[in-house]
Amino acid sequence: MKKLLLSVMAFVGVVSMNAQIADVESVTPLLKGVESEMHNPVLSADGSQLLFSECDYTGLRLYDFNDNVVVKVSTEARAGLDASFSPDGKEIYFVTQTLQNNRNMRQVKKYDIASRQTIEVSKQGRVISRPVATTKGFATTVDGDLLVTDNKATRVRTEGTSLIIAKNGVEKAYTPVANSAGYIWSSLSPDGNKVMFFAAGFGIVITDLNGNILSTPGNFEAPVWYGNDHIVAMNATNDGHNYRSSQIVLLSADGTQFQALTKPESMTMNPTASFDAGKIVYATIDGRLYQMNIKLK
Amino acid sequence: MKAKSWILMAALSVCASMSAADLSVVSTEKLDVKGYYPVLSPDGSKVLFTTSDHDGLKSLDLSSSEITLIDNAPGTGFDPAFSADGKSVIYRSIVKVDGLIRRDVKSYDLATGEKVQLLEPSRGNVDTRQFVGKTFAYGSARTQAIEVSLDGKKQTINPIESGYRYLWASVSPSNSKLVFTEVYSGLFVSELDGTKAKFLASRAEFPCWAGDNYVVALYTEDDGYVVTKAKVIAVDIESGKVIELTDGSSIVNGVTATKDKVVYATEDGEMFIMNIKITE
Amino acid sequence: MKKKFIAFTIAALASIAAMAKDYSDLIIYINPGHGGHDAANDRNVVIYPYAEGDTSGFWESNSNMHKGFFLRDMLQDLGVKVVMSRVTNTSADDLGLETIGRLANAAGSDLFLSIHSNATGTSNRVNFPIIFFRGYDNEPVYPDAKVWATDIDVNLLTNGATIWTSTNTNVRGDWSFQPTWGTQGYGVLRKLTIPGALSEGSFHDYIPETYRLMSLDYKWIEAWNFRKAVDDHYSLPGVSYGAIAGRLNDSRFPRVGDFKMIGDDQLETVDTAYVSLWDETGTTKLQETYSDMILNGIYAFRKVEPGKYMMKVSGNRHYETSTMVEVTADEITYVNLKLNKIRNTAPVVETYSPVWKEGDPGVLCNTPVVLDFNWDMDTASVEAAFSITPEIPGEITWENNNLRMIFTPTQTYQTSTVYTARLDASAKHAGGMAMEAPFELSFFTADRNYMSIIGQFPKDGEKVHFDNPAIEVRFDKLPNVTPILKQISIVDSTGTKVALNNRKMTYSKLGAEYGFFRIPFTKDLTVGNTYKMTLSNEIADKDGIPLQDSVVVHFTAVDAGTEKPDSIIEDMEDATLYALNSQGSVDVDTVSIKKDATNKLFGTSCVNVMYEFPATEGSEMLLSRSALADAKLTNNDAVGVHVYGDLTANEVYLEVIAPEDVKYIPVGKLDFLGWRYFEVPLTMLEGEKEYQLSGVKMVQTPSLMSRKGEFKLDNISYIKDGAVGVEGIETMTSVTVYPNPASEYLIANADGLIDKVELIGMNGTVTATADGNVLNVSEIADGIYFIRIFVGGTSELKKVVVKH
Repeated sequence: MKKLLLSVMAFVGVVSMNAQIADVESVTPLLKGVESEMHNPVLSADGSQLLFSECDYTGLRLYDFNDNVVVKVSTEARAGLDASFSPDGKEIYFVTQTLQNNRNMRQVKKYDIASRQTIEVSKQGRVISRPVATTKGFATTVDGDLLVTDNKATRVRTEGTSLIIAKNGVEKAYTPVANSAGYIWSSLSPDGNKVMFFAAGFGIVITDLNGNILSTPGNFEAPVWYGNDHIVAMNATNDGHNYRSSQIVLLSADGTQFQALTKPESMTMNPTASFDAGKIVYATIDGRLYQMNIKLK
Repeated sequence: MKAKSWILMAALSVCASMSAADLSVVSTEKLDVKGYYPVLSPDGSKVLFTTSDHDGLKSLDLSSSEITLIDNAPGTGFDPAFSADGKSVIYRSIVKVDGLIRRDVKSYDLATGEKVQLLEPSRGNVDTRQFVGKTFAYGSARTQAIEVSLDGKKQTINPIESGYRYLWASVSPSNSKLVFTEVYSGLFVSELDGTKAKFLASRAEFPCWAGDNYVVALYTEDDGYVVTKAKVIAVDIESGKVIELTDGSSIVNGVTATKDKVVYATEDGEMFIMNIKITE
Repeated sequence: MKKKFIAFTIAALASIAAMAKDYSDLIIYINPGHGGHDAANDRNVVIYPYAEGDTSGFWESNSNMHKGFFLRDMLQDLGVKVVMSRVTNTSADDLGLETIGRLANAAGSDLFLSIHSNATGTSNRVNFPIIFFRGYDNEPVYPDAKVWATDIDVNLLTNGATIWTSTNTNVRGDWSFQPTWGTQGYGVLRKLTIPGALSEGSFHDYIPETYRLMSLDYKWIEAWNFRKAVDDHYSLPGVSYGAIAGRLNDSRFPRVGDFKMIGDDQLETVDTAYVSLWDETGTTKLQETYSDMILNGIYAFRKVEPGKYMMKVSGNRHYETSTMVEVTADEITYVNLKLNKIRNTAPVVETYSPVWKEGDPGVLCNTPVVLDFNWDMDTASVEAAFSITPEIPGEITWENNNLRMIFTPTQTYQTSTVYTARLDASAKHAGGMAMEAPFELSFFTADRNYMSIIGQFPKDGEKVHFDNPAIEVRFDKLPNVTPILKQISIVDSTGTKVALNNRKMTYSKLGAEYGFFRIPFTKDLTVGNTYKMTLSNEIADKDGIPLQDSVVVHFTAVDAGTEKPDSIIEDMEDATLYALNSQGSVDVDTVSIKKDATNKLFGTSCVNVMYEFPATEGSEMLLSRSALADAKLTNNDAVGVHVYGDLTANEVYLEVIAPEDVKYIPVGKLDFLGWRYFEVPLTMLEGEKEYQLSGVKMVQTPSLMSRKGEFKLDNISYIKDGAVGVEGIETMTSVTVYPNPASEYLIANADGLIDKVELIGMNGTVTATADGNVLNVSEIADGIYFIRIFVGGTSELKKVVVKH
């Protein structure tokens, strides 16, 4: 476990403000007039399918771009919070919540898109961490117990202020940033060589598979990979009570370049991206979805 | 716990024997059916097999490929045996009374399907070999010795000096020799009365006679938790020469043999039959 | 043969009839895991003083076997029949897994236990039991095996002599735990058809636990807990006596070792301690025992009748301590104690700081003096014995159980001075022994003992434009901004606090040329009011070097904007009129001239100029107007210029041209922030000539802060005969709405939580509402509206424009 003590001061990004990293080719509203309350979008890796849910994460809906059809995957509470596609885009993992004896019990479920069948893939627990889908299965923790069905796959997750990287079934924990209130939003780059996570109070951190910091691209929320060298994230400000601005930004993973894709007053948030399809989908604060096609320069 | 006498014997026998027999594998095929812990009938025509948890017992007829379900209760697949005439199968089951284990023995007639209770459920262990006929051998936990019966005439023998626990004893097809394991000393062959004990191999499990001159067994290595390496071996009892019949690329966890075949099962439940040839 | 069988059967039937659940019916098979000290499948953890491979060191096979023996003895004492897979530890004892399972069956066992201890296989260090049964976590192959495994886990967790990193139950199916092995599972659990468990009792790669596993008493504790698990499993009564066990640590000396230590494992163990058990009154000694030599401090009294006792513990180097202990039947009473080391040597200073020698740079002028002692000290005697010359006031504090003394000066040291701190030999440790010799340390201080202010807005007596005001202070080093809001206070003339918007503070980051912070006010100021700002002398740089004195600033709020529609020369609405003129400029790296619609004073926009020079002096920048401005200026008149300053102190001029003459009119130095109105009489123009505005020039003032800046210009007006402008009036508001005009969203922000916003048409009807602070206007017709913002029980109205 390596520790690098980085104070906020050391986070210096030499950013070429608004240097053009990519051209915005088009921006189109999605499902306008067809669906409402569309929040928390998640794209499949090939960009052909999209998940979204209500503002409070209730329910999970699936949109197929090719068929132009919306299917209800679940109507349960919390289904939209930790939903993700399997890498081949054939299954969806999500976590539901029910109140039993006055306690919230959660469970991981898997939805097969072709057959539209849902099965339970974990027992119920009080605390379930975000399921990480890998090529042949998934990993999660249920009340602290690790549940892995594809142990050889490299995967990354966070727990408190630990970044946990598993290779060949062996988990190692790292704390690359000290004095953070917690780590969230972890993911592997598409080529599986880099790890990205967000350290609260600090910002985005990129490390190698051994927890060594490669770069710190900036203090932007909800980052997702766009290919292996770029990141799409959300830049929001607030007045302590309400959002003041929120925009979608495109960053180079090495932290040297920054481009605002939408304006601060556009109140756009929670981006999701498919590098293969050259598209980004994001939501507005009042539940509309937009698709933006970009082309890297 | 190790007796030193047999080391010298083994050394002597290597020097002495010149006319060794020869064993070779003619062919290997995979059986269509999945199973574990195979047991060949003495005439080599049938194979008993069970699940990885020893639940249930089936018999496969090697020529007709017909499968007979003998019993499907838990524990019935542990240590079954064929009667000497090959017509019935003797097997054991487990039942729990007041939290304590009881074991019984039944026989199953392969032709008629009739089941006979040979021993009521009782405490302590019982070896199915006692019921196969007039000639048999087994390692007894009670006497901490080997019980041998030759045509009804019984003996309790202790072939290894300071031998502690014996398992897997069996009489050779010609009724002249005994093969057995002493758990701390290894695999041995001896006269039926226990004399002239000769060391064959260490860490060898499931020993069985392939004809009168070879013993086939399973050699394993483990890390204290799981088996990490397993090979089927054949040992020439005269020369002591060890031939490896499998290459260790898959983990074998059960083997059985007769003079012209060896059947083994891997950890995944795949069963293979090897046709072997022994030349004098 | 038949006779024998009948006899056997009758005996069996007889035992069925007599079936009572007591110990003598049970047959239990114990398999102490591994065997033979073979590194391939045994586990050797190298701990001092045993070398790698030494069979007397920690080998899992040894440890498992000892536990097995103790358990066998305990069970046999109760009449249970016990069979063990091995009773020695040679390579012959390393039995095959199939063999072990068969032996267990052959023994006719009812229950199987494989004893192991665990290792993580990573650099992570934990300590807790995990018990395995065959099958999946929720689908045991033999349900009874899961019950048996749970009985074991629950009992092992009661061990109070160790440090568990988790006391959650950890009972796992081997197929779930090792999913990559499919349904192979652990070899020994496969053969059984009887309930079996594999116990990983604790982690032997957590080194303090490895040392504990060298203690026979400790292994006896695990065996006792296995025995209790058997009792629980079969609902058996247990034993009539109890036991006492525990761990002895030093009360404060840290344990030496290059391995992870958790909780009290960070304290030294007390080895070969003498532990005696006495009657309640402490007069009759009943039993005695020792903790062993192997760095674990573990002791046990293995058989004690229930009752109350006094237990006394002493070590070779520790004071005796005693405690009352109550013992109950069939339970171990755990008593862990911390002993105090006998202070039998004189106190010395073991380490100290600052460490300075001739040639080293000076230490910071606020460095504390820290002394670390080998014993806990008598604080009063140390404080009386401590002195520092030259004299400087300070405070002495203690840490680490009085092992560490810290002298913190309450004012900064003098610069470039040698200070000597001295502790004379009267200083004593808590046992009363004095130092053998006095102690002295010296250090030389750096040449800077205060932070200086190199730029400031507002300065005392300045005028501040009321709209969007901010304060900025610049320092010679990066300031520590974390406590800054407690170190600045601003009050108006009635003494009421004026708030700063901490969330919008900007400040210098690592690598900046100078230190600064800039904080805007939360609300606009009231024009005409005077204010007082106090910067505390606790404001300090990142090393803690503070300002020498506090700073008091009085300033007045003004409106720098006035409307003079008839006399505007240049309204600065069109930024494209101005461009860099390289002929009239010297050494300009970059300049960017843009329209700024947000921060303007008049009209819809002003002109924003962002620039960068290569060095801290010598540059000049001329921004030429593409055409001359219409107004004609003479030397009787004055010009009024509205400038938004950037604190660089660079100078701004207007360039005016007449036939055959060019003049530069000085407007002012940008040593302020925010808008300021300058009125400049044009007396330097030549008489009888008429000049027209042709450009704006900036001349750099040599300074650390003048290299980069950003200033704005709005209306330049022409005052006939030099009239002076009038101050305007504005209302104060804390609610803001942007963007205005808006096409997609109107976003309202305020000091409090906005509950709701309403869009009201010019005819008074409510056109749209939204919960929260964001209103979607993408489908609203263009036009002028009012937006009503509901905050904390009140509401406020603002005029907005929707334009798509």
